[in-house]
Amino acid sequence: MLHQKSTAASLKEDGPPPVLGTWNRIYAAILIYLVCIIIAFGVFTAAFNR
Amino acid sequence: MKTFDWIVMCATLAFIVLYGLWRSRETDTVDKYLRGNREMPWYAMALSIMATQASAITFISTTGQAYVEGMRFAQFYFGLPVAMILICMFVVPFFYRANVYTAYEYLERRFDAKTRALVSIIFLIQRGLGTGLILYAPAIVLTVTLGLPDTATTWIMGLIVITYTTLGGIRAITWTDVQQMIIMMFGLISSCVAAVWMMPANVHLMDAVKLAGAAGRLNALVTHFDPNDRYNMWSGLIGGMFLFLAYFGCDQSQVQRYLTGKNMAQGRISLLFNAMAKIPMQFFILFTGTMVFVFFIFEPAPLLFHKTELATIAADAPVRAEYESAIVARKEAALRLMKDDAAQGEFRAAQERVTAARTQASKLAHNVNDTNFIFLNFVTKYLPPGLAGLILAAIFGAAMSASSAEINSLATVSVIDLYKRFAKRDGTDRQYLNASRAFTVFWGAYAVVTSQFARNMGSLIEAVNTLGSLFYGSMLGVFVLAFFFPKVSGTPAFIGVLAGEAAILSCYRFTGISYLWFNVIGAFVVIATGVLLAAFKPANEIRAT
Repeated sequence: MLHQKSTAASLKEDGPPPVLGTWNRIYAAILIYLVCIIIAFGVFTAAFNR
Repeated sequence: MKTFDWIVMCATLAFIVLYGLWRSRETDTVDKYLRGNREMPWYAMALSIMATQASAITFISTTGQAYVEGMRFAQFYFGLPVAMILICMFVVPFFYRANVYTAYEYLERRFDAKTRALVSIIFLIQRGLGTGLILYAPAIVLTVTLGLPDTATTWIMGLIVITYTTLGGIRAITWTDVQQMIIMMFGLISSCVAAVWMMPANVHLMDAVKLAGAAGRLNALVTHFDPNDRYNMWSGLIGGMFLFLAYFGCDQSQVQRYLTGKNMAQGRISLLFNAMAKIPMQFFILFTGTMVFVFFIFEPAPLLFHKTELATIAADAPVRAEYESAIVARKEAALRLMKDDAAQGEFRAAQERVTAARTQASKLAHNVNDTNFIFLNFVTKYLPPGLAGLILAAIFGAAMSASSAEINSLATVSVIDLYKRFAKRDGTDRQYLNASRAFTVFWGAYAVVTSQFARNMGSLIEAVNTLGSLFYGSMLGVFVLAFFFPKVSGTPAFIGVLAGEAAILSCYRFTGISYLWFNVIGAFVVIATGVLLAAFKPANEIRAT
């Protein structure tokens, strides 16, 4: 049966993120990154779009 | 296009497909065929997700959009990182722990078989029709540009896609997507460099940026809130987030990508990579479009990039003379502006004349929208031999990666959610593998055949988006019920989906509400109906999650 065959392999525990130690820190870093991107877009627009 | 470009294009496509098939050899079980045996590395999943999203029409349209109205489209993706974080937090763990092949399989565990079947059928209807459109959309552009009949283009693309998708399953798709994504990025970077390189010797990158900015093409951020304005920071953050939640959380063509990882962490990393890479990538694609815009300030651009429609405007039509005069004035003003900021007003006035002439010409030529033809015109007419062939291979590749993912997901849902669940519950692995391949051929052929009817559907990109919005709201709503409302059981969820679809179709049929709001309306109606009905259901009907 499909599920019985692959259950053991698929139920491996979640691994740690490659950096920053926890997933919540990764999510926070991405939100900060998004804010930085929006600010960078704003600076770019203000500087070059006349 | 030159013979060398054709050779480069065909050789590149052949390499991509053969490499994908080589990487997918020994695909001899259903798990390998549909989930890649859960062995895919995160970077392959991440690039495959990006390639699936980047259909050919997006590739061509985005650059053209920057040419016409600047970079504001980049804001549409502001909601993506937020949506990806929510999906990583709440959706990925559910799917991995449930060990499912499809997103809809989870709905039976959470609700019941009828809810799973209903949502599966909704997905098959939506994606079945959408795949034909995805396959046909680039064919129109390529037909006009290369002179190939659209029927031939769709059949050639369709047969290549059916071949590698049927033989190699999701492993072939993922590895071909990786190659296609690399070639796409290489093609875009080369195009951007070439556009700047081929400008007159006295025009440097910063001059080009200054001219694009003076023409209002570097409007990457618009902060004022206007519900009628499709692309601003707020519509991107809020509307985009809902759209991407539905797309990455409920659409099997995306869910299947991140279920191929060996564990939850790999799936999460692939999604978060997209969350970080997508906005800069879109920014760069749009920036390339603005550089093509500046290139055409110095290289006389045609009045319309759609050759066939341009030919319908009389040779002595006044708009042609006005356009010729306007582009000369714009070029002279641009050269002055590079040296002296005081020429900005003159440059803008000339640009407005150019835009007005193009608008008038468009009206004369059956209201044609030539946005999709701008970048291809640049590629086929101006890029050096070989590079044009490579970029066209990237465009064909983008069309194939998007449609192969859709066909594979349609086959997966057909086999797992309908055939195995309702027709043959105790089949062998070999029988399900054969059924998967048979359904892949069926959906591939279906996509090619339905694409032949797409030519009568008007704006294809709008047709694809509208079609998706007619169903995504209900799908998002039922998954929100599944994840966050444990007291809601099968029948209220089932009725909720029906109510959501009724609400969306009513809005579509009887109101003028923009299709972008259908996702929000549909999801809200499903959730409200499910929660209200659940309040009147006996407690013993509540299913464990």
